[in-house]
Amino acid sequence: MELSRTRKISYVIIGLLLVFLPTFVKSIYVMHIINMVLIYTVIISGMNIIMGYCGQFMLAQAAFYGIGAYTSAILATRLGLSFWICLPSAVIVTCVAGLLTSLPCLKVRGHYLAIVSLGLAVVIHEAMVNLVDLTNGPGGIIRIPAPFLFGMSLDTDHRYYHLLLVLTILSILFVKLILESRVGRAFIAIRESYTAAEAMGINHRFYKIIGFMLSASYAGLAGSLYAHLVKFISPDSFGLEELLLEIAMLLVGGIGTLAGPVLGATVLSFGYEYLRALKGLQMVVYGLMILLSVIFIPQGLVTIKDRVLAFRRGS
Amino acid sequence: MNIGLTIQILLGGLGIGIIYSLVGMGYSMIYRSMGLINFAHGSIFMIGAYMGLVFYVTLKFPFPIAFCLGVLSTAAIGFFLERILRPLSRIDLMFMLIGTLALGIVFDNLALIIWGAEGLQFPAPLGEKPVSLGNIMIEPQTILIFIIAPLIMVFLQVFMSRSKTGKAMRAAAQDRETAGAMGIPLNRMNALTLAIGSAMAAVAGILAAPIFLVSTNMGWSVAIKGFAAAILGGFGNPIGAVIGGLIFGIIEAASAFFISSTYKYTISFAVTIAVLMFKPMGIFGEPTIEKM
Repeated sequence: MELSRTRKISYVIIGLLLVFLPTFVKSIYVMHIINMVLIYTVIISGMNIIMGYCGQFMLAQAAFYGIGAYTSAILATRLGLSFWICLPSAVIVTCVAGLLTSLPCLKVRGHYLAIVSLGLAVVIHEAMVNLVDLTNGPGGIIRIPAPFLFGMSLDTDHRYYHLLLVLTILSILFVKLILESRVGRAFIAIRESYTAAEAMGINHRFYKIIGFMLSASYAGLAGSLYAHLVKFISPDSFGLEELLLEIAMLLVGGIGTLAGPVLGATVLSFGYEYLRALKGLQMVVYGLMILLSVIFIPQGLVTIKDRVLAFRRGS
Repeated sequence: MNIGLTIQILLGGLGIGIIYSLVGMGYSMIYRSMGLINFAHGSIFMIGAYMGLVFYVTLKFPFPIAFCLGVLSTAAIGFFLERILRPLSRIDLMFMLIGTLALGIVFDNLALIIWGAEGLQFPAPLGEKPVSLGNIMIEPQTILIFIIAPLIMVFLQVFMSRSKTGKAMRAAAQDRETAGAMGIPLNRMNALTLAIGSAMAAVAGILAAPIFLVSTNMGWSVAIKGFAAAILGGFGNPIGAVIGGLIFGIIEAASAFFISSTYKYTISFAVTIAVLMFKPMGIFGEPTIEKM
């Protein structure tokens, strides 16, 4: 792919900025928000595969995120395994969970799919709370070790950042790779019309299962990264509210676009923190923000640039 | 198996199930007329319970008057909601979901500012002392639910099928263009449907209030179960929603008694999912043909 000169230069500048970001950010708190933005970008990019490209209304992403976090945390604290084993294990376990979840979801569509996948998410969440022997129940798992990289412990947000940055960029590039492949084209065909896709010889069941597994794997990766970053997890972090936040990020950013998840995660994470100043009104304004954004810019914030340009041209 | 015990569990399940039915019917009605799945419905349920609380406990009206005032004020909120929800109807399901949920978050947190985070007690209007019929014990609140909820459902059915407004609402739901051409004000019909749906959520909220504690997050679980009930019965079909709700309530009560209350969501959802595997459009849902 040929890039124009200005494009190349701007990519290099953005790249350098991202690499040296921790040296500019002194506050641990801001650094933590930045790290969470990266984690959300991974989750939502995965969600975007099944919801945005494949058009399936799958509401179990927060539960998959939890499965990834719990798998990694249990392996690390019970068996003392290294982060570099926990992370791929979490991805594999979540991928299998995605496969199993997809099976009952194949028969239903639209809002029926929504309730089936949400029901499965509720079941998974209830298991996290009640399987006390495995998950320590509502108390959660504490003292999850930080990963080691080249002999250095990534135990602060500043040190964790580069690991996250690399994995997030790889995740986004992998979505791009999928989209440009046969699988991605099949997803979009299914989203546009089941009947037409089937007539073209696309086995929609097969591709939906693939979509579920891919989305779940992304959530698993993010869950593992989250567990080793915050070092404490409990079922509260993977419930309904988490799911709503993730869908809101996807829609506010721009569903079915590559940049949407990044934008949505950034705007809503920082927006939420800035609104803390409003105290009691924080969530009211936050809710209004999401509502208005969905009504007025349903294509998402990714279209803002085009809109501003169109406005300037006076059209 | 003790027959008395079976009946008691059945009655308990029906009592809570009828609450889900009322909520599920609201979902179905609004969906049929506006093409909107209103996920803020759980918050309306919560607001209804608080409205009842305000009139009954704070302003000390007698229960029947407080009940009516609570339901009517929630219906008024529903009526004005139409203007906010109008741009969300008939758009893609995901936008509808997150738009109405965001509205629900706004409502919940406004309620939090007004009434505070602490759960409030709603005294049962017929007292707390269980009534015994032979060897069956029934909570007086359950009896009240059994009296009021079916009355409201029947009244609604008669209103929708006999009155001129009801007929206009059904016509608008069935075929917007033709109904509009006949001079039926479509947006006002939608507003009326939202008002009625909200009123039913308020009825459910006030009737359930003495069983639950009234709190700002009481709506979520009822919202999900009411939605699941409506889906189970066949979405858009109010009778289906009633039956779905009753089934949901009975499963919940039976599984809490025989298995364990810690897994009650798991069991009720497992049943819902199992039913949808065999009837993907719900029990009373009609199969639709996908258009190209």
